[in-house]
Amino acid sequence: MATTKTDRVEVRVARQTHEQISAAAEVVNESTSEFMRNAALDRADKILALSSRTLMPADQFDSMIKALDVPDHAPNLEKLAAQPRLFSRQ
Amino acid sequence: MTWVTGGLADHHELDTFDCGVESMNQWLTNNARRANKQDTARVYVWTERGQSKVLAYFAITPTTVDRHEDGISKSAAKLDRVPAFMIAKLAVDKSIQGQGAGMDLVFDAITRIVGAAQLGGGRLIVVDAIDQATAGFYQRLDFIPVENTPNRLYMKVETARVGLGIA
Repeated sequence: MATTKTDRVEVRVARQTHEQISAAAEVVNESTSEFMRNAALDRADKILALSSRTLMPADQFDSMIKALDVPDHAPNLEKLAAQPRLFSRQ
Repeated sequence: MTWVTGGLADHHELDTFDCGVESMNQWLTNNARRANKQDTARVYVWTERGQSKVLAYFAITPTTVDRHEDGISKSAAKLDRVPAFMIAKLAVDKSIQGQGAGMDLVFDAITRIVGAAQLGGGRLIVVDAIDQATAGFYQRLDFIPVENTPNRLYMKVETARVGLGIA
């Protein structure tokens, strides 16, 4: 994800819009451009459903993170694992 | 019938592949080689032993799962991003559909990911299902739907490791 930012995007906005964006950016400790970049990327991801990342709602994310090392119950996967394979490695 | 799985190579024939979904056929013929060479995806294919004609394939890409809270894109103290692997594409040729090949193809993909995860990297497996029916297919393999994102599911690498019986 650590790509160099080389391209520049300029946007024209009303002063009021600019102030609103800056104020919101300040709340979350981001620069205005960082904020706009993140907001635009979030939207682009959602629209394109791109594989670059998956946005998981905070509640679901937090409970998953708490138990990242604890395997979930996976009876179907276990059943599949117990069956003979249809493929072999080269 | 036992198929042979391996990384996409120059000798593989892609043009004849038909899984019934045009976008999946096209990705294989138009994008798979480039993605594989540029390391944006790892592409694996199934063939008959000694043959070059591709009968099934999947692509794995690195990805992240991000904590998403409306209006706040970053939470300072908390961990808010987990590295993951995505099964971005997965398709079976019509000629071998209906024999459980799809399930076993997912099994192959999960095995590859668990192997890669042991070298460091992803903690989750994410799938991008092309439609609701496909999402249901993954759910029947114990993948968990990501809320608010249709047809996106995940499984912990740890779940896969234990489910596969890898100590």
